[in-house]
Amino acid sequence: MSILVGPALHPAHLITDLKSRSRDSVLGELARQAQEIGVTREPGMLRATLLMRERLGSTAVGHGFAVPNARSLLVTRPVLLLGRSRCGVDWGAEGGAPVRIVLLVMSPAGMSAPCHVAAVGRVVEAARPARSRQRLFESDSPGEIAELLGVAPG
Amino acid sequence: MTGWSDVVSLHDLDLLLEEARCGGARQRTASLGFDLAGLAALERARVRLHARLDGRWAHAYERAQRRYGRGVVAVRDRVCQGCFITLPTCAVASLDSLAICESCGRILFWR
Repeated sequence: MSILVGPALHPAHLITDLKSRSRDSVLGELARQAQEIGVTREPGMLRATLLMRERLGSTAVGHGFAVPNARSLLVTRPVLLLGRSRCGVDWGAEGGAPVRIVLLVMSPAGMSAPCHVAAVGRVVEAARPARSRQRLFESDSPGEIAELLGVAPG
Repeated sequence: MTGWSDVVSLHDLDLLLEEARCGGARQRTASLGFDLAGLAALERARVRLHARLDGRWAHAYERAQRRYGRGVVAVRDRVCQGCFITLPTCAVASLDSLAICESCGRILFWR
């Protein structure tokens, strides 16, 4: 079942092979993608906002995936970007496995804190089962991924 | 001189601190497995960022933050998204500089 409130996902939101090899540059790559799809005009500042979130605590949640997220004036609409890394990225979590799936959840500043956290929570919980993680790594279908994560297809 | 980037960074940092401090959001974030140990470091970062603002903008930000819960608000189609007043045409000239909504007093973010 799709949840139609919150971030949406369409083909341009999927980066199947992240070029970057470090957490900071992956966030930069995703922020530039956000600019490409018209979600922000300031990818450099958006990256800085995402890094600030990492200073609060790592957004790696185990099992090789991370859910960086931001609520920001720089974001025009709720959106989800998915990036996959074949080699894995060191996300800076103590003792954490390399991150291979990055799910970036962004909300505009007007969204309330509970709504944003709820959107992040839906993505984390949908991606947590081993079978879902496997599909997230293998699938090239934005529709299937949107269905899996319970977000609106774009 | 205060640039819009410092004001926007302060605003976004305040949103993040709200999530990290607010009971329900904090509990939910922690229950998802996120580490929130860096709260004190973020609070120090806020003090440093706030100190970089000119007095006038720091004052305007804090006043609007106290009154409305948000110090900065986006402008869409020349409409302040805080009080929904249509801004005067001459206000568009200040795209790269800071401005305050004459109706509600929030700092305007044009992008």
